[in-house]
Amino acid sequence: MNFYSEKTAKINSIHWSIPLIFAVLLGTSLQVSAEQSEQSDNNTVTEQLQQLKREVIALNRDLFVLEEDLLFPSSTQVVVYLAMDVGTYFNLDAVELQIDDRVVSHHLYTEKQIQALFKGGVQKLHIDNLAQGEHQLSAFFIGKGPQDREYKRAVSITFTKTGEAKSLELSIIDSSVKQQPVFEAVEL
Amino acid sequence: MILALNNSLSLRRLSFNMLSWSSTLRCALSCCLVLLISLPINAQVNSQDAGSTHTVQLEKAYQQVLYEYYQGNFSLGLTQLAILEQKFPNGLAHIPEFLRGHQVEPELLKGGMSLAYGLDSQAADIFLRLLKDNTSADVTAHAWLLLGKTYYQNHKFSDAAQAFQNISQGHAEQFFEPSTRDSWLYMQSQLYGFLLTDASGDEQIQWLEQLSKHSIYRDYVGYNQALALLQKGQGQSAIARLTTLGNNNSNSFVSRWMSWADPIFSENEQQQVEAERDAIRDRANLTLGYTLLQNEEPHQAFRVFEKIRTEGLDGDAALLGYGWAAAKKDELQTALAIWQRLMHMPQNSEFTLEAYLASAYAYEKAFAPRQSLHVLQLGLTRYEKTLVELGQAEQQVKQRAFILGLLADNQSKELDGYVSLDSGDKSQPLNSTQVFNSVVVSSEFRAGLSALEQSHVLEQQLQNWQQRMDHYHLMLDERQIERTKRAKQILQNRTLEQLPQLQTQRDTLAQVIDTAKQQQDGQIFMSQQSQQWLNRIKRSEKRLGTIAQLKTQLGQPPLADSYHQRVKRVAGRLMWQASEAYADNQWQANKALKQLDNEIGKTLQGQQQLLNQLAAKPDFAKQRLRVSNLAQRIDNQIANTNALQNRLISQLSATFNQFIQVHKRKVTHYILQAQLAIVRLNDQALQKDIDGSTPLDDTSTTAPAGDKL
Repeated sequence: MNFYSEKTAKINSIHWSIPLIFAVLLGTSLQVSAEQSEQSDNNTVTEQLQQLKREVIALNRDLFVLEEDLLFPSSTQVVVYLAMDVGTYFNLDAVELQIDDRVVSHHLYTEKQIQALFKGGVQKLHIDNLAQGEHQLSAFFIGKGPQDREYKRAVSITFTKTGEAKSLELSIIDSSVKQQPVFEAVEL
Repeated sequence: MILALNNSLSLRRLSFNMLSWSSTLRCALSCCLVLLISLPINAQVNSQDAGSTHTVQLEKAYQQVLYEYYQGNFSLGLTQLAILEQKFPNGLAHIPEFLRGHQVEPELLKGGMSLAYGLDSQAADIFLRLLKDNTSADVTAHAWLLLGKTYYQNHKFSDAAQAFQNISQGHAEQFFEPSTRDSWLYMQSQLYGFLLTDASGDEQIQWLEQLSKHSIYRDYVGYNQALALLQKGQGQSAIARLTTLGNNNSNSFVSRWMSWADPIFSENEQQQVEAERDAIRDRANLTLGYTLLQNEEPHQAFRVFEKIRTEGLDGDAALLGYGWAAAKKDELQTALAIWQRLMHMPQNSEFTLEAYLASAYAYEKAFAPRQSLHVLQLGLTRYEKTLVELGQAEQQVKQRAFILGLLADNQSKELDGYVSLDSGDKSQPLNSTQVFNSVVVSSEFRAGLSALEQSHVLEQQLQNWQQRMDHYHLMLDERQIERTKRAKQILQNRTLEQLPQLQTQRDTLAQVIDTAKQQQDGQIFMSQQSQQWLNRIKRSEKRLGTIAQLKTQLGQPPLADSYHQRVKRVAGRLMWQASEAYADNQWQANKALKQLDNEIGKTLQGQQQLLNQLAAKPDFAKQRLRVSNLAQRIDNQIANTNALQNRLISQLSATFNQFIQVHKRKVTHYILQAQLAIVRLNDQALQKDIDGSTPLDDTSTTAPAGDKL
């Protein structure tokens, strides 16, 4: 609120008008060059940040590959994926995974994860090292079934681990014929 | 009889042998034929298997990317994509149709993720490449949209506007989900205002009509259009639009099925959308209130100010305006009460500071010059104190710890929907939070703070990886020790020497079989029980011989011949059985020998692998080298991050400092105004003393609300 400033403005305008014009011009040009330099600084910082992010992604990629090579060599590697259909008959809450009667993973799902699965995503549910030979995998699916009822189903598969990396997939599929969810476990 | 039996046996053996030869030959020929046919088929099947395994792996790798993308984990999504591209060069071009056709073009997804993660140049390159490749209309429309958004985010407004204009209305309706289309319309409306300032209001209204009913962008566009109308001098239209916005209480949030582009365009959080809508409503009411004050409509302005939330971002500004509306209605008591409330607030915002001058004006208008003077004196004290505090704040913002402290605040406050620094902040003993708040809500500061936050997160991630690298070094050491220990054990147990012994035993066995084959001796292939029986017969023969000898010595009559004949008959029967089973037994023996050979071969191969592995010592060195290289790269990136953080911190400090200087100038201006007012009031008092009839109310008091506007 400048309701007290009228007199001051008048006085200033008499005594300082000419120097002020020069000062304003100088100030404006300084401000423009300062803004330009600030803009280029910002660009550099943005570029640096982008470069850093690119490097971090490349690092993360190499780290993932290294970790897989070191911790889960293909001779012992077993990977379990989880895929899901539209989910009309089943709303997934959790999955428990057992290999050779030993619980190896228990996963609770968030809404975002469920949506991601509905949209075609696949979750790498578990990765493990197993000796070569025969093994049994059991998965327990917990959630809400048709008519919003508590639903718990299990699926089991016996597989042979060879010298090659083994991949298995658990799928939850809507069966419109049965009006029920169907749970499957397959070797990939 | 025995001779005849032998002859018949040999004849049968011969015929059997011939039969077995011919059958073996047939078998061998058919095997060769099958082998010849099956070889190319096997090769084909093997290549098909490898191909399908490759496709499945590619499919799973891409679906993992989708899983991360749809959760909004862009960094992880891009990492998974980088792994996919490393494992399957040009793999994105071979993604199965069921994943690309109805979902999203993989390259577009990569571009979108890059854009959302802040890799703008990478994103722009991808979109330009997609547009150059002249892909389908759907992909082209999305590519233009995302390219426009990239330019928009980088403040290349002209390029952004051109990119958006390449999308036709029909394509937008056909290919974009409502939220994506709203975003496109909103950005266009913003750019329209920026580029074509001479556009008529009617044309701009179209944006509003095209936006979906519940879009938050409606509020933004509506407010911006109202401001544009005000600038053009179309006050009444602006008031009408602001009134509609200010009364908009529809906090409806539409939750719907997520489209593929939603993670890039939509925050989609109900709480956030409602907070945003409340803030826009407050801002619209604030603008409307001051516009009405300027139009000399204080009664309406008073009612409008009443609607603004005191806890919102515009609470202080609204209180000041509320006071002015009351003052203009000649409700000076109410105005003074409101301003008193502002004056007692600890923060040194321009609104709390102006409240002193406003109160002085009200007292003067109420013919209370002493109170007016008193308030001005209080104001001067407050202003001086504010200047001191701002000086301290100036020092404070130069400290690195202060800026870093904002990061934690930012993270916690973002959960509440907006960023602000409350008076409860432990790092700020000063009452300059309002100044800090106004800095923090500025877009340039938020961008800087966001960059700093991202670099901070990256640094933490890198440090975490650095620790993991140390662990891997230790793990490799342990593995190497373990491996040496195991190698020693193998050597000590002479495990590797056991195989040659077994091989010798096998060779001996093979020799026996060969001999049996050459001699056509069925006895060798006899079963264990038959051999036991044969031994018993031999023992019986021996006993009969002994008995016959003893009887001769004792002069007793010899044994009946029937005993010898019985033994011979049984022996002959056993021999005959062995000869009959000779071919089968030989085949079984050969088969067993072959199996044994296979097993020995496999064991030999395994043993060779083991020996190779034991000999391959540099394997650990290679792994160590990989770990060390990664560790080195991580170290370099940590150094880069630190350098970047230092630059960002200095930039943010400079921004703070700039705002503090501006605020200082404002405070200095208030001091000047207060001092002038005191001089004028003293002049008036003096004049009154001299004249005794001079009116106290001077004409120099002007309408205050106009200045604010």
